[in-house]
Amino acid sequence: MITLTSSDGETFKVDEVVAVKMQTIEHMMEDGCAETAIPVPNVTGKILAKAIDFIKKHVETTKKEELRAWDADFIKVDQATLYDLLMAANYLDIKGLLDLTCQRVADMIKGKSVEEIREIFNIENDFTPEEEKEIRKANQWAFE
Amino acid sequence: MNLDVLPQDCISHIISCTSPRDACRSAMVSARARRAGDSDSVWERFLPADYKQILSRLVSPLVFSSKKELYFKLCNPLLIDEGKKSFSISKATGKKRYMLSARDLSVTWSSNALYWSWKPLLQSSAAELRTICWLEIQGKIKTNMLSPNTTYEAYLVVKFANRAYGLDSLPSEISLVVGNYESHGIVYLRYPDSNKMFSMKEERIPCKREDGWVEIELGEFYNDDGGDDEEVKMSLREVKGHHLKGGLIIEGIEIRPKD
Repeated sequence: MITLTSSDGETFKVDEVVAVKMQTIEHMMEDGCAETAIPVPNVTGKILAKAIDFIKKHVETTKKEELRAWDADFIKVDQATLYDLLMAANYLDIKGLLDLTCQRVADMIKGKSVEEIREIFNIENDFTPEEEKEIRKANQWAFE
Repeated sequence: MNLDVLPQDCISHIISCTSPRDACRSAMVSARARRAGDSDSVWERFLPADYKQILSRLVSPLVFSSKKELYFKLCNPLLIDEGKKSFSISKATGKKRYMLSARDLSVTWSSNALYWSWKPLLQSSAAELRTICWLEIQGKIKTNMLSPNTTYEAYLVVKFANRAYGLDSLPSEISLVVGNYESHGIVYLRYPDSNKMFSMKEERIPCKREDGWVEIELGEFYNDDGGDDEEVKMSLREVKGHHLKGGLIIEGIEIRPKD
């Protein structure tokens, strides 16, 4: 069993078979740093719990259809949680969760206009009008 | 929530899950989004998985300074496999397309100058039918050359010379076979007639192309994940009629993803 401590002090005991799916943790285990509790400073307890749930489900289930349905349900979270999950998956290097969260955000971008994307994600336009013109010209096809 | 809190490689990963068109649009969103969207890691995902092998088969080597640049260069047809075929990718999806030149097809009696003559066409040749009774054109391509999980359509690309005769006295038989799948049809080899309103169930209608040629659908098929080493065999034949036919000019067979 491996013990993980979240940024807000929650501890989680997980089987090795689950822990190794977090590549970052696996490397620490290989380096012999897993004797005591491993701190996970970038991830809160709430998010770490969800990440562990994800890995457990994917370790236990092999049926593709069942996993697909479960994933679709799992990812129905608010934007803030989605980002936190994405960053946790990136930090802990959990490939399946990173793919799932990135695809979910990607689906929010697909087919949207530039203005719509800026609005959804609160991004500021930091181009000058000249730069905008130049970039639009270079990517003309995307606006046809 | 602000996308800017994510590290750049995460933003690239997200954009690589969208599409080439979305990735180009993301370049307009902000400077950071542009860096992420233009990155090689994104465009490598849009390129065919075997793009390095494809580049090695090109007749003229391609010069490019980024994977995005390479992607758009591959959207234009390029000669490949010693000039027997030309290759390109569909801009919106990155899926592979091929044109098998007339030289790459098996045209019965085409080496006999009495029946067929070869005219230069672009960087290859077109086969022009002088006169023949036995009209038989076949082409094939291995499924592992095509993009997986894609529905493809095959078209015979032709022109009709002014002096064309006898080609539509009888319908030509069309077939496409791959693995256990077979489809058959017929076509009357004639220039598309906009007045034609009725067609029989299996009849294919020649269509005008933007480049001035005419295309005839030989069939469509679904290419799954390309695990099997199968071959798509396509053919057009008019061998039942004993009359002479002439004036058909063949550019080749185009195999492209269905829209």
